[in-house]
Amino acid sequence: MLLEIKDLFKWVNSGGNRIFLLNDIELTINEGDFISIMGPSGSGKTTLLNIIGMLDDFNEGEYNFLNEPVHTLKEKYRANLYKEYIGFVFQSYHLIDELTVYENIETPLLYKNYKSSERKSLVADMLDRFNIVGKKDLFPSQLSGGQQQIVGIARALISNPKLILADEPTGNLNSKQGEEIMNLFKQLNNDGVTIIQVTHSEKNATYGSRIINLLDGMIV
Amino acid sequence: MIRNYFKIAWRNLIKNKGFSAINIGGLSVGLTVSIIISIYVFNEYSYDNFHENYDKLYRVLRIGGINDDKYLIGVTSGPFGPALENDFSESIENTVRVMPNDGLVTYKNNSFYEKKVYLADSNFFEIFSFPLKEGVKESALEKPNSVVLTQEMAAKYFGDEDPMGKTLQLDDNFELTVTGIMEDLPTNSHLDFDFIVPIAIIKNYEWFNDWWNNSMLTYALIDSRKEAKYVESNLTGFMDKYFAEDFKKNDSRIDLTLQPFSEVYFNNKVRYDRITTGDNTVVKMFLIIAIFILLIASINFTNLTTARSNRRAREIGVRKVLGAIRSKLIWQFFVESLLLTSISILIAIVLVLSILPIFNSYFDLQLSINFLMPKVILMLVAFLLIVTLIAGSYPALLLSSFRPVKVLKSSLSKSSSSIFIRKGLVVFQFSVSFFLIAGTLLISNQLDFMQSKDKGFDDESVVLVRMNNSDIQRNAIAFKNRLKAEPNIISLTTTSGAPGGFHDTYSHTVEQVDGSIRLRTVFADVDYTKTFGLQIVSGRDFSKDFGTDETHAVLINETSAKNLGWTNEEAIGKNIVNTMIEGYGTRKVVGVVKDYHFSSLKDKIDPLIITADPFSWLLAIKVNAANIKQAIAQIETQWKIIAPNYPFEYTFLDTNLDKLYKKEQQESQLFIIFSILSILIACLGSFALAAYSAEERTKEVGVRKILGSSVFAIFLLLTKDFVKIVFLAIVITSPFAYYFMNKWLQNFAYQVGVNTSIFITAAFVTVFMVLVTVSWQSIKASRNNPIDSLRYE
Repeated sequence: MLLEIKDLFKWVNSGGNRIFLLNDIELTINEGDFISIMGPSGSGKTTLLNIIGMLDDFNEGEYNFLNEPVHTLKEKYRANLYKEYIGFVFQSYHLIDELTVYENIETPLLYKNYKSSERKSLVADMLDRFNIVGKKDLFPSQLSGGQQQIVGIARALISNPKLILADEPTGNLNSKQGEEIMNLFKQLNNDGVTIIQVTHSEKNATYGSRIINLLDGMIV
Repeated sequence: MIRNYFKIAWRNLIKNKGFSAINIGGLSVGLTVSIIISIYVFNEYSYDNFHENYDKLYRVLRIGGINDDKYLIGVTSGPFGPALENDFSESIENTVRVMPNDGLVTYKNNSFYEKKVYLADSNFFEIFSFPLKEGVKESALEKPNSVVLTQEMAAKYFGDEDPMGKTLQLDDNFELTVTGIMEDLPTNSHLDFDFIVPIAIIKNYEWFNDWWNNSMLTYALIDSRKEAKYVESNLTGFMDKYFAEDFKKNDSRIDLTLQPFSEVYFNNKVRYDRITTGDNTVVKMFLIIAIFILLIASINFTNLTTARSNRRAREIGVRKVLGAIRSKLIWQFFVESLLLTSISILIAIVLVLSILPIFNSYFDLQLSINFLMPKVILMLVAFLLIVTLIAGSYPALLLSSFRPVKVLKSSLSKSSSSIFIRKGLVVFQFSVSFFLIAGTLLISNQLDFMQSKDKGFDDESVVLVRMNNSDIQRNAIAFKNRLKAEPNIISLTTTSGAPGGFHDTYSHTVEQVDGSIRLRTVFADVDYTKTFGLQIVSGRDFSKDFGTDETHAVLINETSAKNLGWTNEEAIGKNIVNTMIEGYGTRKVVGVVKDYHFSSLKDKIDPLIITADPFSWLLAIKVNAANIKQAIAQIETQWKIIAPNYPFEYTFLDTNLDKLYKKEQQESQLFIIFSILSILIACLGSFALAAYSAEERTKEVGVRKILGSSVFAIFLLLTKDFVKIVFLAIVITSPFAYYFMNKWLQNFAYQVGVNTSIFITAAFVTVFMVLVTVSWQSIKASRNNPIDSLRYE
């Protein structure tokens, strides 16, 4: 078991009313899963993903990640935890514009205090693996959307995470590029990486092994 | 990691050229000002500290008083030094007397009238650390007929010749052998001289041994602070021992005190002083200004960085998601401000190097800087770190606090606390600018006031000639008569001091008044009031017709009459005796002159007595204003006839008087420069802020225009925030400004007063400057086509 969520609630107070963003979520994810979270806009998909990624808080419930009780951990430990085990992929890639492809991929290693020689070889491997060696000195603005997302995925994988969280990873891409990315995910999953993606696309959801449907913050 | 930080910082800097230019521009100007002021401040505080005996040296000062006002007097007489050394032989290691003097110096056919020929005891070079390039410090002044001169003077008189052993002539009575060459004086010495001649050459003059002939500086070398305290506590007894009779006769006393060397330069309240002094208040004021200007520039960085935080928010979010902990992001932002500040410091160094010579010549200073000196490098590093910290702290803390969930959703709500702080900082910037502008106005008002105020005498086309040699003194009467015969000369008088110049203080006893009164004095011939256009308010002027005026008459000013309890009319006929001058006799007040400002307008008018006395050293000549040139030529011709060996030199009274305010004038010019710079830097920041806020409100402006708002209404919308901020700054600052202005004015006995027009003008200037800077952005934004702006959405 990779992570487990029990009786999780998240709400905001608006004008005296309590609005539930997530309502009594119960979820267990095992290593090697490929989960697709689906649901209409505002159903709480991204919120759930952010909570799993430890970027967001919740109001009530339990969240255990690799048997660590996340809800009781201090911010700093939490950061260490996700730094170690989780990689993020975003709809709009979120590459850093001022950095080259090489440097973007390298950044997580910097924050994990890898030595320079280690960084070099790890990034080189990654560039090789995704066939983007020739693009390593380009800046994000010089790449197509699909290429940028590949860099985004390479960056997410560089620190060898157990879990990849992807928020509509193909949302900004055309269908051909999207298919490429999804195949990439499939392959990663086959290599043993656990993946949770948020998606609107039925087709993309079929790449996964399990679908979680959300509606108004509840799993249906 | 650090390399990575610098890489990002550099790319950000290049990418946002406008932003970087404004920050670097403001910071380099701010740093330039601060570095120059620091050099100036260092120099001021380093005065005299090159002396090895700095901690052991004291200057002997007298404490005198005009009636109840006590003040320090810089000069002492010849006997003080030896007597102190004798009476306190246990405590005082050594004393040295220095007598500032001038004289005609001749070598072969070259003669120059030198203003800085000092006489000193033979131990001068042992006590003070003025290194000799040639000669032996212990013996250079041993023989009375020797002279030590600076390198500069050696070159002036001897050119390529070796000066050592050559003979210089001083005036017409001393042949002096060169026994030493000094390195040129350090700029931070309160003693400022070109020649040192053994004081022994004048030892045999009767006046030299007169306790009351105060014309020299006496210094004492005392081993410890404790010993000095002991000496000081016994000085009253010392004075009683030597002066008891005189004190009784004058019905007033003089005391002595020791001034530690560290206090000599900054005590500019010492009267009759003959050394270079500085003003600690001014130094502090400039230090504060430097800090403020640096703050204004730093605030620009802070504000611009936080204003455009939206643009950096996504990057920060991503970095956090990639595992950056907050401290690493804080470091990253500090590196960015460090890089910007470093570039600014490099530019500032170039600016300082190019401006300093101009600054020096304009303000008559001799500041220098060597950027390779460890002390200077330390200072620059300190500046670098301080500015980086001040400018970078808030942005680093703010930006690193962004939460990734929020910023990655890209709907960053504007944090109201950061806007509040930003506005607060802008208020501060304009407060400082407003303060400086108002201060500048006040200073120049006060200067105008002092220079245009009716001084009570006529200073126009009065030529002053010092009768500084025995030839001219012996033939003073003949000289005067010859001049009187010249057509362009209206009137002339010999006097002990012209208005704005030297007016010694003496004790007097007065008929029907108990005790004695101390009065400022002028000794002048009967044409004094006529030459300076003084008004007689009661009695009569001096006149030759009475024949006895030059031995029996005095004039007093209205303040004297008032202090003595007389009306102007009652004063006439009263008897006055100067108790300190032998043979003064009893004199009668023949007239009262209307009060006039015989000293700077910084001081109130003291009681004054004008004694008719034909023998004085200064000649004041009122000439025909239409023919000043001819008049001077005529005076020179007569001078050449009577004293052909001496160069003819003259000054104008009005330019001398202006020099009284030279310091204030320089301050005012510096104030103008600093206030202009401060408002420019502040406006630079507002310019950029206005650009950002216009950009942020593009959509709002578009919607408003589509809803029918006029260009002018949009302009007002975008501008009014800034105007509000400036008004707030003005309102907050005014009370402080008012307080400090009044405080500054206390330095002056005659004040222009702080009036509202200063505040109104300063407010107008500030608001105007801000409007000009901000309008450009507002107009640009308000004229945009809404279609363009809304298309982004």
